Amino acid sequence: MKMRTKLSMLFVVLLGLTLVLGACSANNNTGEQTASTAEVQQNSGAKEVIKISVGEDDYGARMLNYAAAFKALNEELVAEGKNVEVVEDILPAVGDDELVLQAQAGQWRDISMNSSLDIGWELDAGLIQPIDWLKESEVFKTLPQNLWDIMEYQGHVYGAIQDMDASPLYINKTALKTLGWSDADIEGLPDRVLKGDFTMDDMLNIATEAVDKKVTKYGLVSDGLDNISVQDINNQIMGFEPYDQEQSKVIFDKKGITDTYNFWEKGIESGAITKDFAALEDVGFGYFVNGDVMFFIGGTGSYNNMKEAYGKSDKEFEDWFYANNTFSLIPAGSKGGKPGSLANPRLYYVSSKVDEKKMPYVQRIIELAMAPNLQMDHTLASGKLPVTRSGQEDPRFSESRFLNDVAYMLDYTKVRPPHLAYPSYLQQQIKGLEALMVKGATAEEAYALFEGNYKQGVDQDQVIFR
Amino acid sequence: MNLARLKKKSYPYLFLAPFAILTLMFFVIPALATLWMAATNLDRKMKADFIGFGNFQRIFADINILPIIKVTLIYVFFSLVLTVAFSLLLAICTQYLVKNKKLGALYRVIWLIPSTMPGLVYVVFWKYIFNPTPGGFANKIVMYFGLEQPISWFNDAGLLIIIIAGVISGASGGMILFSASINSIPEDVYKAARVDGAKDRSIIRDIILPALKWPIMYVTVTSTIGLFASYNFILLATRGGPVVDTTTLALYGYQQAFNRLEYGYGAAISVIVVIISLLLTLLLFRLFDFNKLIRPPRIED
Repeated sequence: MKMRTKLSMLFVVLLGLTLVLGACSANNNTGEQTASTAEVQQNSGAKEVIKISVGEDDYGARMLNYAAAFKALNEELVAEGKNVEVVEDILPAVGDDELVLQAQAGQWRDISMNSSLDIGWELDAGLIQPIDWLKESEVFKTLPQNLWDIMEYQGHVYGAIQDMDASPLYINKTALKTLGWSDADIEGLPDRVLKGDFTMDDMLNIATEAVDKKVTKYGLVSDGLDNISVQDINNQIMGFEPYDQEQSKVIFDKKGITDTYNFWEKGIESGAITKDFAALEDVGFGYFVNGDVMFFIGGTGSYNNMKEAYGKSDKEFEDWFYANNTFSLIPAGSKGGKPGSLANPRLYYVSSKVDEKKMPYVQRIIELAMAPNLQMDHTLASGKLPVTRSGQEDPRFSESRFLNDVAYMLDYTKVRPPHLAYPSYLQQQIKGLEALMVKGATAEEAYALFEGNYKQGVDQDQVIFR
Repeated sequence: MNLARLKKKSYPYLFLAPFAILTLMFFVIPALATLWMAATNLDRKMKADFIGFGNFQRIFADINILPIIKVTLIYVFFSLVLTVAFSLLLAICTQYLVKNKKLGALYRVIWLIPSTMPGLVYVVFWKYIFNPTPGGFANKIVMYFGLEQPISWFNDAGLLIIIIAGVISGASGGMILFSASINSIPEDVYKAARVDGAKDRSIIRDIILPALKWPIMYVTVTSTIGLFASYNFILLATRGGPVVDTTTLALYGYQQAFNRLEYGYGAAISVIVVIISLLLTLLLFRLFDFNKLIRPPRIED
């Protein structure tokens, strides 16, 4: 046989082999990716195996809690004498874009976690289904009403809240003393905030004074420009949340928005807020620990960040923190207004592909992962708060002075609306803020940019423009 | 036609077939799919309705498009000119002016380092240098010399940093190509020129640069296309901000498709990117007199 013929035969064989192997590999993948009932199968020992896929999320103790829930469920199934084994299938963490594309390709996560903000679009994309059984769930019986509101959308429960946060205003007590505040004045400040006697403008004035007198380098710092703290400030300035729950529409309020931009403009002009506000996202809490910041707005998790930045034991940090700092809710926008707090809770979502047969097991996994002790494990690992009263009754909760002191904020804490048109509202509002902070735009120009960008990219039927 | 002849004729096609299939799968089909998507309102619901030129009409009404096109043109023009010029300079210096060949080669290898770095590492390096806090490398220097407040480099000069980083990373590819071309010029040509009294400047202008016309065109055209389509570095460094100050068309298309999950609109923007790239490529061909360049040689074999 000629060399050329041999080579061509070899080539054809290799090509054929590649195609066969490729096809086999594709078959395997398809087998793994098929959701729901196809995964309920009998194994060789006649035990029914139910595979439940969960999206990976390494934050805090989330994955450990999943593992504990699967273990507990299997033990319960054995105790109940059921010949069923539930197997955890962890699928890699993905962003929202990949979640959509993977669902399109047939790879669904039976249980996934995402922000409460994501209910609207996930529902619109057909990714999730209602889980109204949660209303009857024993585990969630001690959940405060304001947290129930977070999970409901258009009359149904779509998510099971996994953790919760609040957004304290961390206050530099030492700096206040340098500015001439008495101990009594400082101790009374959180109460004044609670009564609406201390407003956002008061806060900005003190921040300006601290910077002017070089008591602190920064007046007001937050944990990022596109983080909830900024939304919290904006909501407080406006005096309302830009969402009409009854009509299920986002509110685009010209006066309210202009007021917020005016606040930021004033802050920048006075020096209380620096134009590199956004750049301080990952270092702001460290600067607060160094005493360089008058007011810092973050989450309850920021306490853990500060502890790490301080670099000493929990007790030493706690002593230092309370000796030099205090915290309050976010002040009201005007005298007599309500103080606020905003959170970005994580919710368990159940895939729209989970069928009736699988749902009871999915439900039990979520309930078991929300056991009070597991909630507390997550709190210790993340700094986020347990969501149920029973979770807060864990002895370890009362051992933490900060967690105890901050827990009252949950009653004042709201979340961002889970509406389809809201994520774009946030993005475009931040663009306006960026223009104001970095490019020197006026409040009016920032508003015009926000309005123009928002109107061109949103279904205007979903928004109340006023 | 007998079987043996048929077999012989089929060999080239057989060998080309796998690559043709790969090209079809990974280039032709995605390109056609992009065109199709651009004519639909495909979004997170993954339901596509045909809307014709609706997305293109929307692009022309988009209030961000003009500033983004301006940013894109500035980015592409300066990146291109500086990359080609810098590549040429490096190649001429290391291949012609530096007489020590080993030293020249070593210098070229050093310049290859940025382009061999993984993109993410390269971005981290630049973000460290221009970190906006007092801990950033550039800020440490300016604050050492008395500046009180750190500078938000990416906010104040984001596009400039992106262009510089791109030029430093991208110059090495052109440098290698130009060096190889300079190396292929026979030594006799230089000797003859020197005998005629030519100085280095006229050798570079009249011998080296004309010999580099083809590679310069190649680097210019491929860089233009690459620059129009690139967004990775910008996405990681500034996410296109502040506002849209560092957003190029390609990045805007990406953001619409993958951040806002408006795949149809994102695809339409990417089609515009391709059209602009094609038009500019044709313009460059004309500028470089491409027809003359590919004319058959007059020398007979």
